[in-house]
Amino acid sequence: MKSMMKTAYQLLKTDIFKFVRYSLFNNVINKMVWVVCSVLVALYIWPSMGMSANFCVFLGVGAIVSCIFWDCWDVSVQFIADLDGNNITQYYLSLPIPAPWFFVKQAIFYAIRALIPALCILPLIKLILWNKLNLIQVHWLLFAVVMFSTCFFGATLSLFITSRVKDMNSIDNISMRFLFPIWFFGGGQFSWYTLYGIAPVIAKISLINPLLYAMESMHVVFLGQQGYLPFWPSIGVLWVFNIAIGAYGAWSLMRRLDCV
Amino acid sequence: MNSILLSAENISKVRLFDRHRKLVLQDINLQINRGEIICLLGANGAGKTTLSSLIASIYPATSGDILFEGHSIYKNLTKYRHAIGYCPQKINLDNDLTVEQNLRWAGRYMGLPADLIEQRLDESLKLYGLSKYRTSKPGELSGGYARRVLLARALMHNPKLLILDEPTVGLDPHIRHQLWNVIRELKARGVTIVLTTHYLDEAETLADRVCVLENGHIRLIDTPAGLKSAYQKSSLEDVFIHLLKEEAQS
Repeated sequence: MKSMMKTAYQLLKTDIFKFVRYSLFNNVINKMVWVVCSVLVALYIWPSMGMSANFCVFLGVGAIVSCIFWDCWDVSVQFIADLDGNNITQYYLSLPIPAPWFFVKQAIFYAIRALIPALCILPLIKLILWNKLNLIQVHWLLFAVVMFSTCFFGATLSLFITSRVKDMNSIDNISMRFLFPIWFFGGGQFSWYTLYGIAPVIAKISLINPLLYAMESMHVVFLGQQGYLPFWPSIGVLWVFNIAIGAYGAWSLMRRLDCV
Repeated sequence: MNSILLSAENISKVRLFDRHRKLVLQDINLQINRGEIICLLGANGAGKTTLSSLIASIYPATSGDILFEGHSIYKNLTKYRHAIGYCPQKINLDNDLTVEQNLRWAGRYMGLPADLIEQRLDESLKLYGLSKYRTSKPGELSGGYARRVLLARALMHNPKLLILDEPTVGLDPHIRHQLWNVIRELKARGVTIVLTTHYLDEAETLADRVCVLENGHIRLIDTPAGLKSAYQKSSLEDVFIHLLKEEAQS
């Protein structure tokens, strides 16, 4: 057990070392571009088209969750590219740890790599929104809970996507047919209660979307409970999805890679 | 001490190819002695790579068992993996890391202490002529040098059993010969080697025994000299061609 933990820890250290050295800077820049573009448009242009001036805060806060969510896409592409090409994964799966441990390690790494850039963009959102975003009223412990839960959601979703995509040729299909609808109806563009007021049936169906719970919880942390799904039940449901998606993803990857 | 290091007992393997199940190995019984070089030979699709991957515990066996020093490898996989080194056919080094980082991390994954890792790292770089490529990335190396790094990585933890899957494929003849010398040195140090190859001269030069696979079955196991004598041929290549003809006729 101790030697397996040592190996898993060393694998995690390698991943973090490579991420910090080769990807972190560009990853943060990419996410900053997303946030600056979307929040600036919501702050200065949409209000002139009749949109509420406070919508930029809603969008900015949701952008933190969106960045974590779309990070799962990046890591899935990298994983599948490796399976199709260099296949260093095969080497990792020949090391003295059982395959399920390796996939748990992958999930932990994906969560860490999504967390760091997401934390980096928060000061930028504050800088752009300034007076509109009041950080004094934020409950930071709840923020930590949402970040932790959302990062693990992104991580487990990455395992799931990787297990479902056959090869690099079919990877674009999953981004447009699966991830985009999840994101668009995931509470980042409108709250669940807004959707419920307009289309109750669609709102009820959207309750099977795990991203909704992450997005609503993040909005609760920054904007208060009123108008959003209750915080702790949302976190609970999100973790049910995390465990189910993660377990299925790891099991499916083990079958796909036929590993021990 | 028992001379049998590893024993494959009634191994069968079904693999999934695009939703089609295919029986790639059937009823394989193979015993590998300590300190020997055993070559797995066979035509394309005979099951050589699958068998070496099963021995390397990359894939699980569908049925049967693999015993290492008398114990099932699946009962204590971690211990078994500490005792083996595996060089796959495809060079799967970490292209983000330098040669020395690849080797250093390999030592860390195996739980070696830091001072031992540095000692083995220096020894390996010297032994395989990699000192001048210490800070190069694998992508900058020629195929021959990348193979040496792969071999050095598999040997960082001093395994008892080394599994080499087509280690000299696509290499220039002089580099092949250099790798043969490395393999001979490993054997001299007491490492048991399972060598999968397409090159019959390689098998004839290096192997203590050869195991010929045919459509997922073991056709025969013998020493190269024993095979040549049994089929009254002057080279292993002639024996192999003879066997292929027999297979085609049947």
